[in-house]
Amino acid sequence: MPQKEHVPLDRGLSGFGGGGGDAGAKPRILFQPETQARFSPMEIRAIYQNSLKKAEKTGMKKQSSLFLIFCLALTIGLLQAYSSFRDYFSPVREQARQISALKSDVEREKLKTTWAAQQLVDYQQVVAEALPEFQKIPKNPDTLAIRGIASVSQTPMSNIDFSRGILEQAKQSFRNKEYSQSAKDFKAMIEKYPTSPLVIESYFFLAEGYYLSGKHQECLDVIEHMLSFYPDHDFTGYILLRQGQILEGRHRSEEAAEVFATVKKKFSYNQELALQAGRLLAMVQK
Amino acid sequence: MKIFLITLLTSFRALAGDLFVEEPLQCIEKKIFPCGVRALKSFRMEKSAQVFHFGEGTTLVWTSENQVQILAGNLWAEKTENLQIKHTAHAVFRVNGEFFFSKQLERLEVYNLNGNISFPKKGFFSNEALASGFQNWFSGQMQNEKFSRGLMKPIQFKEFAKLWNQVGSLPKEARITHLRSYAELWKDNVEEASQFYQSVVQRRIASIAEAKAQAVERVMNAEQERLQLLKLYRERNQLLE
Repeated sequence: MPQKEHVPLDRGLSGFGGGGGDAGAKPRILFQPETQARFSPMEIRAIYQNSLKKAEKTGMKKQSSLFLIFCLALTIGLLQAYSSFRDYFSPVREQARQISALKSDVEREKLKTTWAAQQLVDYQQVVAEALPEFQKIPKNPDTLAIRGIASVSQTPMSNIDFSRGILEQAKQSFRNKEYSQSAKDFKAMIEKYPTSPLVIESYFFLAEGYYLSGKHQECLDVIEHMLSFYPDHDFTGYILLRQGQILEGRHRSEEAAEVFATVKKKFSYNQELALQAGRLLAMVQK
Repeated sequence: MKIFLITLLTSFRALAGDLFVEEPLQCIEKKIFPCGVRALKSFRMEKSAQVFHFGEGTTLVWTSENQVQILAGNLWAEKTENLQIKHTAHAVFRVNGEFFFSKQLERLEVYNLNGNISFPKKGFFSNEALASGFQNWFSGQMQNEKFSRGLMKPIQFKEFAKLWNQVGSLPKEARITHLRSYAELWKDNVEEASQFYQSVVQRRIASIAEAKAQAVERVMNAEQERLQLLKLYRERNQLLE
């Protein structure tokens, strides 16, 4: 009987393709006839069982890792779905969306307002440029509105003429027979707006106020000034009648008559003035 | 991967919607003019050949592809190529290069960071200029057919940096680099400005002297005329002493 050779287990395993080789492969059960001959059936069974255990171990490991990945993905998916659904049905989400939309609307409105304001400025500028010939606009009541726009759009604030307002205030005092107050206002008006076309009117009422309040010398001074600066103006004609009356009051009838005659002749185109001068002349000559 | 990309794109789109509002809607994208834009946050915008940096609250209108009217806030035009800045209805500046604009009420402050600007004839002087590194303001309203304006002066660095820092979305390091490059670029401006002011003062002295001489002549003429009128009046009315 030939003696059986004792082979270490790991050598024998190499024949099955197991051990340190392909861990995932299922162990083959077929044995080579020589191997069968070399090992006893007990040994072969032991080797087989050993390799079977190893294969099971590695297979299980792989399976369990796959299972873990699956569980993790499932959990994440569920969480994500839960979060989405919760937000979808949550009133907070809807409110947040509404707030965001409202904020956007507010900003859009701000944009529109700023834009409209700029368009208004542009429009004002266009109007100002379209009315460059302010001086050529006829000065009558029909053009008052257009002159108003032109003066606002073209005249710097500092140069706006408030003389008419002051004059009206002074005239009101004059009508109320507050002659000293009206004299102050007329003087202020003349001093502040010396180039205003209303200055001559102020001088006239100033002189008239002096005459009516008995300040004849002051009145004559103003008349002298008017004669110097506005000799052809109708107001000068009217105030010269007062000069004649003052002279008459001072018993200088001849000089008074001369003044009335001059006014009648010089302002003959003004019927009312000429008529008044003629009447006063006739009275002096009587 | 696809899901990640879709999420990223959606977020970006939402972010763009949070940056500014437009009027009419999507006018920038669809190129509808005039197109009003109001910035909700500071951001950078590239449009055609122009690069703009908006500050929060900056409001402007694209009246055409190449023309912008600034309504409010600060705007850094980092890159401009033949861009028209509409000041008022009929006054349009043309700019090339780098500029900074600050609009407060009716006043537009223009900072020439590194570029050139040309002014329209109407409402401006024939020799109107704004050199690189200088700033000046222009009012929206005309007085005596000219827009009110300040005196051109070197860019006041601290004030400018404060305003400039509020616009765009540059990181801190890039901002510092930019400011350093501006400081280097404008270092000679104070000297240039002093020469400029000197010439302005000389011109003003000359014009004041001329105005005084004209006033004296006017008064003399008026007095002469007045005496003549008085004489004539007295002659005509036989009031001569």
